[in-house]
Amino acid sequence: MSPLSLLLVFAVSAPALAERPPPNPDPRPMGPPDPHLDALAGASDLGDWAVSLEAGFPFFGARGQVALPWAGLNAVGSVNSALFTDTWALGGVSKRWVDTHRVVLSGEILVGGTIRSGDLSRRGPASQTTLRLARGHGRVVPALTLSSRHVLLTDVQEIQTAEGDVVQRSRSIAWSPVASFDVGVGVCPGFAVSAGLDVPWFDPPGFSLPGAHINLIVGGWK
Amino acid sequence: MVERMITPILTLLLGCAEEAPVYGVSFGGERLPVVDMHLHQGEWNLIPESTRRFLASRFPAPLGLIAESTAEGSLNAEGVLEQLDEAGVIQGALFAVYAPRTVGVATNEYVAEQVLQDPERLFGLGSLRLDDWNNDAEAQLAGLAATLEKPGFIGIKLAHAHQHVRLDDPRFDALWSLAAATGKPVYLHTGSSPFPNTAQDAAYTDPAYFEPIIAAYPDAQFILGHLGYDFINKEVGALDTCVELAARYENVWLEPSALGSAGSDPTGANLLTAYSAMKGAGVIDRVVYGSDGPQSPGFVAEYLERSVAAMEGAGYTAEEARAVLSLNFAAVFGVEPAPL
Repeated sequence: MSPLSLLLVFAVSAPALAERPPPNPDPRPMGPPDPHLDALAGASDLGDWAVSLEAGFPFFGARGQVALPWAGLNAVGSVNSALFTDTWALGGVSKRWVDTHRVVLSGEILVGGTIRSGDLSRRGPASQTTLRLARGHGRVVPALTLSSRHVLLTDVQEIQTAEGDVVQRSRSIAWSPVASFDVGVGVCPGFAVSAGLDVPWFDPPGFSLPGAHINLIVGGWK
Repeated sequence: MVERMITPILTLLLGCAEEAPVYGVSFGGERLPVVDMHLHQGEWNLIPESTRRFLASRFPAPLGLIAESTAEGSLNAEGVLEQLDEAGVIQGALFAVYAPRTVGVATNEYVAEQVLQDPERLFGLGSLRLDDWNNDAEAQLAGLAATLEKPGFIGIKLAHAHQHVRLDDPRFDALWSLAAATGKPVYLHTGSSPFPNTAQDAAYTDPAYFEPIIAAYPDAQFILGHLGYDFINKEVGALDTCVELAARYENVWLEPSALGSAGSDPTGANLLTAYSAMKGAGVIDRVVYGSDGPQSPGFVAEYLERSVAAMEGAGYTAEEARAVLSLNFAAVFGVEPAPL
């Protein structure tokens, strides 16, 4: 079992928010939405939403989030697949823990299920805990994401004996952490792209190859 | 002016082109040809599910998720030849395998097709099923005899532990007679095996159980693969037995494949022990190099590198290394010595 992943964000020191209105005494940002900031930060401002589509090696996926009117929470849905073979479908909530308008730290808890086909097939209920650190830097948003994914596996062993079949079940939890570093760039209001590197760890302790991806991000406000 | 432009373009293109393979290895200041007598290929779907899972789990993730397509690239003759080129190995022998409950099946027909992809560089070792011997012995022997007539087939491959037959099983006299009559050496897997469902008891893995057959068929040549290595515990296993058998019987040859891989012998100490033991027993003239590749990209080259290091560590001369790496292959299989 793994410890909960920790999230660190390295902010880029440069004039920020040059294209934004002056800082507001209200810690909640105002003005046009930054879907890339919201998506990479893992949670949108109240009334906002963001959807991202990811493609790369090994991951492909889609993720959506929409701010809820309670306690700063976001509803999150995510479908992610490694090589279209190891697929995770999850839903849950996220929340900005730290929001200084330039630096956002958020946490996310998702539950759902995973199914893996092929020779290493497995399936079971799954969960994912994620920490994200992002910095709004004008149109450029660097972000670090650490996810800890778990799946509950049930092994079934059927033994044929003279007295009849015996079915034995045993349960185990498999852990698959993933770390990613992204840089998002706003293209136009409501649309952004990001590129990033992934360091997944499939089936520890075996070695896993690193990966890379690009994201298309759209967002808006109600 | 045009020439000035063409020259750098050609240089750029040629520089980007794939380099021609350089064959052989440097040893003691000499360049020695290399023949790898132990190579596998086949079809993924003919491997049992439990073994496919075992193999997939050993691929670097996430390639194990798409194990079939990952393996396809290295399980045919083209993939094997690429690995041989990368390693500088000039020739290699492909194994047919009939072990449906353990490592799977690579048919004689499939091997014959692969050998024909490059008959100058590839040889084949035929095999046969042993799991229904009481009922189909004649058919199996006839099939093997026909395979051995095909171009490029130079020997017979068996793996008692994978095929679930004892090494001292008395039912196979006709098989040893066929080997003796055709002059085709028999390669035997010895030692334990990491593959699921392998018969791991000593009667299936310890070459001492095979001695009565070695003694009874002096005209048949037997190659003891893996030197009786214990792949489960990563120990030398029946190394001493193999070396003693080679010292006592002229028809016993030794093949140190797989045991020295990074996974089975991380420090290289066991491979060094094996090469030292063979040199100490004076049987270097019957040691035949093999890798057990291709396994994974780069394995064939890496295994050769580790084997050369072990021979250097054990004090082999260049001529002794030349014998191990190519001349003994020619001697036992009755083929022309490999060119450099």
